[in-house]
Amino acid sequence: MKKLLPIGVFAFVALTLSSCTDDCETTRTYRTTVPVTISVEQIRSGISAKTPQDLVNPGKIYAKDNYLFINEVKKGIHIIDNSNPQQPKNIAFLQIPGVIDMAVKENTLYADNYIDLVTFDISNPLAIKETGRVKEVFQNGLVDGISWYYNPQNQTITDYEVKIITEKIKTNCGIENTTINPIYYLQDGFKSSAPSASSGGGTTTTGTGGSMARFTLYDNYLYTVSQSDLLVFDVKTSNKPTQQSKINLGWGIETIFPYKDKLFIGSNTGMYIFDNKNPEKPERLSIFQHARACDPVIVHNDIAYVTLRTGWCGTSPNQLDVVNVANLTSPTLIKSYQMQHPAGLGIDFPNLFVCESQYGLKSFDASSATNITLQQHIEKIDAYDVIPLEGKHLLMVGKDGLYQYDTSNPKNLKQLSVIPVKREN
Amino acid sequence: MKKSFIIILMGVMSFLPSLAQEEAKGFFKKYPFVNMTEFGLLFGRGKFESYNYLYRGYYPQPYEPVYQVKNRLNLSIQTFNGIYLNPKTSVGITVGVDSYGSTVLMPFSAGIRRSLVQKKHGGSMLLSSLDVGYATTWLNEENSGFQTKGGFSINPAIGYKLPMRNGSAWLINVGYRIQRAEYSQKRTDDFYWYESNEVRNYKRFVVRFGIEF
Repeated sequence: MKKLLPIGVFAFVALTLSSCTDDCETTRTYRTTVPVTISVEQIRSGISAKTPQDLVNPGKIYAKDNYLFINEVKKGIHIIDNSNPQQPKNIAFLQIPGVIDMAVKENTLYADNYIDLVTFDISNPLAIKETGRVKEVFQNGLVDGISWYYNPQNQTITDYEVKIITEKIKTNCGIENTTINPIYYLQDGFKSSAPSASSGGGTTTTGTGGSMARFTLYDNYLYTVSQSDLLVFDVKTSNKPTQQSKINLGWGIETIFPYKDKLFIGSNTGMYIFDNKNPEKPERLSIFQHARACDPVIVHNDIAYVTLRTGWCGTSPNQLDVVNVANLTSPTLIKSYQMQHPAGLGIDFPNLFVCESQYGLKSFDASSATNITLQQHIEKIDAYDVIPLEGKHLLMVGKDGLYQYDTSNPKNLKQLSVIPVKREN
Repeated sequence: MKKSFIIILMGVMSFLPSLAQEEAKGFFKKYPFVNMTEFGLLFGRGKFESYNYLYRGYYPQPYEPVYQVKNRLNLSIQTFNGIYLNPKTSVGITVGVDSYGSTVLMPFSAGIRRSLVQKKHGGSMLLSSLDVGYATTWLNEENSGFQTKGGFSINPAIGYKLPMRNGSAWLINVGYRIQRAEYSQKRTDDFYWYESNEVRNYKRFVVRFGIEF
């Protein structure tokens, strides 16, 4: 026993010395963007009418007569029969790769299909047919902070998919750096995003867009804004749009709102006002500049309501700016109101509805521009965009679904129905 | 709360020996109190992949990671307070303070000490020890953005006890220590949110010097 002990001691020491190397493993989970290449043929052949599907990641909304069109971002359009707002019926899904925006004139639906502008005949919403296509009009696009771009040389589109990656890696046990693992991004996309405002053309033949719209119809023209350009299409023949002009606006364009014969274009640095007397060639009248922010804009009675919020587009105080645009060449600020995190907004004068993202929906009395007062605050819902419709009817879309309200009493909005979002995770 | 706990603990520890001396009757007569306080060095290594600056040519080649090894030396103090169950074996609680880089861990362990061989009475003896416990992060200051969690630790050691004339003894121990700790990082307020949890198993060769009384 006594002889064995020193050997035991030696063995023990030898064993311990052999494995004094630290052993460290990190489990990390992160969201990243992964590039995906799609060919132009895939995009053009990807259009098909399908059976109704659940809302997963709703984008913009558009209302026309008794129908609602809800964009499923980059996947397609849900078609909802809303003849009874208390019981909206999901009747069909139109699959369109890369669709972000849409507009409706008479029986024609205009939608973007990545690079192309496509027209559909929707006279029978259960059997929608593709009727026309203007090729290669959009070069890039951006939604939810992710941009895609077109490569004309090899006829492909590069888009990015958001992926959540969980991985295990061996690490250096913090030998080199004080931060255990610096955060790396696989890809740094353009960090500016897209809510924007309009409540759409007022003519009877067209529908109404939400304040996220980048497509708007005015008279016989379809206006679309991309990140940098305003494109004008002649849609006298509904299913044969022809491109009329292209106006460069600089970078960061988010929104288009037609008001009388003017176009109000929101960018993330300011609000452009265009004279639209000659709809084929809008002319720039003025720009109302503000801090760099996401800024949907709507206009009523020569007063423009602009919401600014902190986000992809920049940092600024979260606020509502009320701007006098009676003199279009020199808009002046009337007053700024403090907000929480405003996104889309809509006006059914004298009621102003502002979406406050995760803070809910607010109803204001805007009869006096210098004294806008809060009438109701619906909390605990996510509100992103609103469309006030005729007959005291409000559509509101958020992360959780599409809500419809009866606004006959603006102090006490009555919820009519909800189309819920079914998220995978 | 944790600071007050530490103060109370220190108080109890400083109080216990005096208690043992004054009232060396009853319980402490049967099971004499023992304190072993040791200062230690923790020797370890880290092996990590470093950037490979070798020119690889234009065409892609199989990637061979390049590893670099660095020695790491940490400091540790610990105090074992317990009682002799019999002249050879004592049991007690070990409280330590260890530094691992920027992390300070405070392990609480159950400890046992047993003398293995003693050639003649009153001479030096071979002493083995084992401490098993859990490390807290009560004394740790966080790097911003991180949350550190302590973990399991085990520390066997073997060494010499060199008695002094006055009844105390010098201690020299060598041993091995595994200490687990977790570092988590969370950033969920932006688009590219990130969450990570790093599990570190610190493996160290331990050399301790101390005194028993």
